[in-house]
Amino acid sequence: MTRQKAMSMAAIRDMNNTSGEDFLSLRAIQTIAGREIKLGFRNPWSYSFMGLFILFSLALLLIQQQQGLQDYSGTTSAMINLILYLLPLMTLLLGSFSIAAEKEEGGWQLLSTYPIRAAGYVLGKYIGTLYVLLIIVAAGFGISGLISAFTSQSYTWKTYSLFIVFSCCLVLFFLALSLLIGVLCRNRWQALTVSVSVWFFLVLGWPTLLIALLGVLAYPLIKPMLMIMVFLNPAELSRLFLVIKLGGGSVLGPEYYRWVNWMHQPEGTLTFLAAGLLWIVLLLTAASWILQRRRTHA
Amino acid sequence: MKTMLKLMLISIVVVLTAGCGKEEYAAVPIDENVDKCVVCNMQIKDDQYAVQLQLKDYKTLKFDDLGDMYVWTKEHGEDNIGAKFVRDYYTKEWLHLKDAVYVYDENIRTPMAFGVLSFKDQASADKFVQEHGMGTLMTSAELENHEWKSGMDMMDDMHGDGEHGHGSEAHDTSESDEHGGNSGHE
Amino acid sequence: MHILRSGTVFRAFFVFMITITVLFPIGVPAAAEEQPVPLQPLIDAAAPGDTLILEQRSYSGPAVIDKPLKILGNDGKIVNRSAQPALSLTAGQTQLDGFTVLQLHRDPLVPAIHITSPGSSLSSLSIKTYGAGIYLREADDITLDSNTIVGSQKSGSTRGNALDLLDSSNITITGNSIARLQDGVYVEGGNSFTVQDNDVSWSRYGFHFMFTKNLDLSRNRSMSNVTGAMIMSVREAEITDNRFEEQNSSVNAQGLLLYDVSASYVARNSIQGNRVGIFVQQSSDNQLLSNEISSNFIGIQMLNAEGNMLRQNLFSANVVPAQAIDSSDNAADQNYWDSAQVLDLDGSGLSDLPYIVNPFFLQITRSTPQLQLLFHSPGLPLLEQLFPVDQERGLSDASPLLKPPELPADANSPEAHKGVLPASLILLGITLISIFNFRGKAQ
Repeated sequence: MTRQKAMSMAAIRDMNNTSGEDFLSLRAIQTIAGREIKLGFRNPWSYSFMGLFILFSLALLLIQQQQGLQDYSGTTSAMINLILYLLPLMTLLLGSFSIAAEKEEGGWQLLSTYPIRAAGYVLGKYIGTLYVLLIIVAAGFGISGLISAFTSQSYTWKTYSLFIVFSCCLVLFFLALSLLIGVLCRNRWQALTVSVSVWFFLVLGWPTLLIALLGVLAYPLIKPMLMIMVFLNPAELSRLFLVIKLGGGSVLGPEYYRWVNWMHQPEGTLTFLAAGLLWIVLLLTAASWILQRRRTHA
Repeated sequence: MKTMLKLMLISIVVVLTAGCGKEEYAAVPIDENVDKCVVCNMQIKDDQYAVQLQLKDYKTLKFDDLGDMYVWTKEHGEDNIGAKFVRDYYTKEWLHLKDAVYVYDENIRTPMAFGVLSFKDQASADKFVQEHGMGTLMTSAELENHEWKSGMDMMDDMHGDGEHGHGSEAHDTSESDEHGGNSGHE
Repeated sequence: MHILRSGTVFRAFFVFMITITVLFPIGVPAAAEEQPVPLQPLIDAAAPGDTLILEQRSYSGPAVIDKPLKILGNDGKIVNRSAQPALSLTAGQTQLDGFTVLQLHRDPLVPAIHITSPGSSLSSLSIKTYGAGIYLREADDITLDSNTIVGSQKSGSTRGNALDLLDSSNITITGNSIARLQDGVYVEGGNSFTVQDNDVSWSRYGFHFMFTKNLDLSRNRSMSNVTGAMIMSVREAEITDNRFEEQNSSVNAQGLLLYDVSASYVARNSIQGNRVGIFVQQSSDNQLLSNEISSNFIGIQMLNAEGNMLRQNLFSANVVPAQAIDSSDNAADQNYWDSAQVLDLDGSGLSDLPYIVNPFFLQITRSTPQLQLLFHSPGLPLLEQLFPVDQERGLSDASPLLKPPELPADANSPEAHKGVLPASLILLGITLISIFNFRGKAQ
């Protein structure tokens, strides 16, 4: 029996041992999340990603040393793009694997014989994996922040905190997406393929796709369509949010003047957070719903 | 995922229907915070000198001086233009270029010094000429053949006449005009 | 309209000083002082060539100076509530020095001082205006030195120009300090201008020249305006050793704009933190040498600009170093681009690989400005590779420098930032606790 399966058994034991009704399956969520965290911290993938992210944050520190890091400049914009290349991919892989692997190894089949709601399972997975990913982010920024504080002073407090928030948002958004991918995929191999294509689609291929799509639209429709598309892509939404908060909103030109001013205010932050929350809730609901349906149909 | 798709479809439909609703060209208000002249890059003031044209795809191009619009059409042609708008000198209301009456004098100060003003009717154009004692009336048809000269061209002319060609009586009237009829610094 | 950003201590101090200078004299009610003395009778009583000394008290405008006079201020103050300029100089050869003028009428087209005659000099004046500052109308041989001109807090079109020159020649403008007006120095027509050591901030355009010739713009500083220097239809300008900084809050902001400029020399300027560092359109036959262009959103933008020389400029930490379209015929070489891939086989200090600016993004955003939303998007390099560089349209540096050219060192020293250290320690602490806690409790 694999270690995962053994842990699933243990988790189920925990749930059965506790008496009383489990309102909103809070206990189930807690158990699954706790199990996910333990699994995560034993997963060699987590550590290789952590190592990669630390290495990469140190590389960022090197870039910054050449030029002070403040506001929207060549240095911060390079950082934004490097984070956008790495973090969403990492999140998509870890998140989708956590569900796909369990399917592959039979852990899910075992769990589904017990009365756990799909929503509880998905939410537990989300919280557990989120914890592991946020620790990876914390490790990366912790080490680079520490080195910066003692040597170059290249981080200002504003950019440091904004970049941490930006990274956390990316993790939050892409993790929801990754769980949906995990639910839809049969095994890790499939999850890998889908994750990489989704990442490519949302991060690398995005401008190409947009320009191809908007080329066929009538001129007055281009801007509203672009705005809708931005809110559908968490990578792009987070990037624009950070650029605006760093004071670079004017580079987006006269078309977005009002929007940028709006986003720059606290109300804009609320809008951004609400949009992000909506995105997470929708995707997790979709994941639970599909999971539940597959279980009842199986 | 289906929810997302539905949402997307609904929003696309909404946008499409909203977009198809408008058929007529209409002048867009000037926003001094963002609008700049397509030709010279200067901020466009929400004043009587501002003009705009709309392309057939409803893209709006704004200019700070009527002369700059002609600079643009000379370079890009008239083929894609849906409508051209100018403003009445006194009321600042938007008019179709072909409906307005024009007054030219090289001493009239406009943002790029082309010296052409637009009026909603003959009467207000006459009024300006009378008040300021300068200006030649033109119709929109005559604008096409007008020799658009900006301050730079005049500078060249002056250069030809000699280094200190300025400061003659040529500019005596320009100042009161700039003050919008508010003369009296004596 | 300014999007406020975390500024340096210096900038905060600067704003503070302006706020004080604006609020203090206008904010304090004049009732505390004695009744102001009308100025015009004093001028009428003086003989041509006399010297009039203003006492340390208030005088009321408006006044017309219709004979050559010397008016020296002993911290005197001229308060003008009328719709006329506080002072009108109609006779020439007048000297004004060392007093304060308050122009309280709110009309952007009425200045505090209106000059229509040649040969005057204004120095060490402190002008607070709700309208415009100083107008020169066909007034040659004027010197404006060490004046301070401050406008109202209310932004937008209610502000007038600080120094507004029309068809005036042989003008010297030095050491003036200007804040919160429309254009700092606006010059239309005329020739031969010396504009040095001035400072303009929180206004629309710092230095705005149209249809002029023979201009020396040097050692000025423009900060947080919409555009630092707007040079339009100008020939034979020398723009050297200026600082154009932090012009980035407006969607049309730039450090230095050259439109229809020719035969000009732009050198050793420091252009930092602007939306667009240098914007060049339809300009030719200019030399851009040894400028430092750093930390701008877009370093240099060139549109239909041909026949210019770009050499020994430093481009660093710009989000996008350069954008260019229809500007291939410029002599660009030996600039330093921090993002260039360099290869030096012969050890000349110059790269053998040209630095080529891809015109693609500028091309699509010019026709569809909405696409500017994709500015520096992470997927853009891929897209740009799909469209091969059109050498005919772009800009390329034939031999980029390997190392940045020697430029005067930046005065800004890194400040310590509290908060980063404790935050990073907390983050690391959480990381370590989590790892040991959850890894340790194995079955």
